[in-house]
Formats: sequence, structure tokens, C-alpha cells
Amino acid sequence: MKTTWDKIFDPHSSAPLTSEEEEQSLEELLLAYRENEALLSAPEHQRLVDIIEERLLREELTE
Amino acid sequence: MALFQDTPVTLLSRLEKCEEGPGHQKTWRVFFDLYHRPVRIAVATILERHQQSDETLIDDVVADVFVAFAKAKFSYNPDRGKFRNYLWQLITWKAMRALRNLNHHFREVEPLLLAELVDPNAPMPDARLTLPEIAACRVALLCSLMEDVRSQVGPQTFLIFELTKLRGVPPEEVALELGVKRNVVDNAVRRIMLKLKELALKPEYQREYHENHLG
Repeated sequence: MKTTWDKIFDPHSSAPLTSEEEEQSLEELLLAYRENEALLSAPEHQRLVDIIEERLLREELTE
Repeated sequence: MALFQDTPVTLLSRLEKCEEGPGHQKTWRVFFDLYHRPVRIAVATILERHQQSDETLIDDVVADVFVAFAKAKFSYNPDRGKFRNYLWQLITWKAMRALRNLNHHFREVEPLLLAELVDPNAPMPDARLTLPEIAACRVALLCSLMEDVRSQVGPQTFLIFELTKLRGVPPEEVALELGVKRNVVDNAVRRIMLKLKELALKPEYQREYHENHLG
């Protein structure tokens, strides 16, 4: 199914978005933004960042 | 030959030019914040196919993937194909490596995957993504686009957009709060929409958006 984002990403489309299309694309962007924001505040996310940083530090020290 | 190379404006182009150092450290962290979910889903999918669903093992493999990025060991080369194919290949290799440590059967598979990954001329096969992977990739791509827009406009312009469109604060309240006229708020939103479109037309986004199930 085509979405408004198909128009945004379409290199041949020079027509500006209608207000309705703009609202639709913002709606999807908002959902993506919220979904990602919830993920970033989850404790597992920070725990993985700590694991990666610890490994990087360990590798740096052994190089 | 150009004296100065273009400054990479998108996250994906910065990953193409990944080098060790503070700049890359920042890039890998932004990349992690945006792509952690699709990577985790892909890792879990591969491991589950081999009857492995231990959360600690999944975390270990996800960390392996991002450590490889942070160490800039495997630069992404767009001539070999799309970024998501490269990412999928790297994830597969890391997952196979973890499985090999659990089961000797995988020892024969890994060298083949590694050869494809490090051979700069080998085209990358198209990733066969599951529906949850496709959905997560789409979210990551849109958030990546948003992050790139944020780095290209003034802080007030982005703040206005964030408050009105992403947090749902009425434009009149935003104007009052920031001490600007109402038309400044409307213009900021319009500018961001134009910037979104401008960045979406960059080759790195075109590559990722089209010709897959993302579009």
C-alpha cells in the first residue's frame, strides 16, 4: 500500500504535500519517534550501552 | 579531483566514512539509539531459527554487532549494496559465530560468511526480512531522517517542530512560550517538512527506502 512517505521519498514528485498528506506523514513520524523514545528510556537499552562501552574499553586496553 | 570532500550530512553517509576517533564514537551511539531495535529483532529471529532464545545470548550478539561498528572494523561500502543488506550480513555473521560457540556444526559456515563480508568486491545478497524486521527498519529509517533534520536546522526551528508536531503542544502555546509570533511557528514546521523531503532525496535514503518491502 502506498503511503504519503512514498511521495516524500519519490524523486519524481515535485508537487508539495497537501495538508492532509502532511498530517498523515507527521502521524507516522510521530509514531516512529514515540516508539524509539520509549525504547531509549528502557533500562535494557542503557544496560546494552554499558556492555558495549565496557567491551570497547577492554579492547582498547588490550590493543 | 575535489580538494575537499563533501561533509557527510546523513547518519548513513557518516557510517560509510567511519573512522576511529571521537567523531565515530558519537556516530556509533546515535546509530545504536536508532538501529538497536531492528538489530535485536534480526538477531533474535536468526537465533530462534536454531532453537536459541536466551536473552543473554541475544544481548551478547547485539553488543557484538555494535562493537564491530564502534571499532570501525567493517566500513560500509555502498558500492556493494544497500546498508540494510550489509547490516543483515554482519548480524548473520555475528549470530552464526555465537551459534558456532554453542554447536560445532556451524564451524564450516562462518568462513564463507566472513569472506563475503570482508571482500570489498563481493555484492551483498538481499536481506530476506521478516515483517517485524521490516517494520523496525522503517521506524529506524524515519527516526534517522528526523535525526538528520535535527542536525541541519537551527535549535529553535527543531524545538518548535518537536513541541507542536511531535509532542502535540498547541501552536499558540508554543509561540507564547518561546516569545515568537504565530507565523514563526508555522514557518518552522514548513521548513522542517521541506528539509525532510530534501534529505529523503539523498542517494543513501533513496537506496534504503526503495526496492524493498519498506516502500
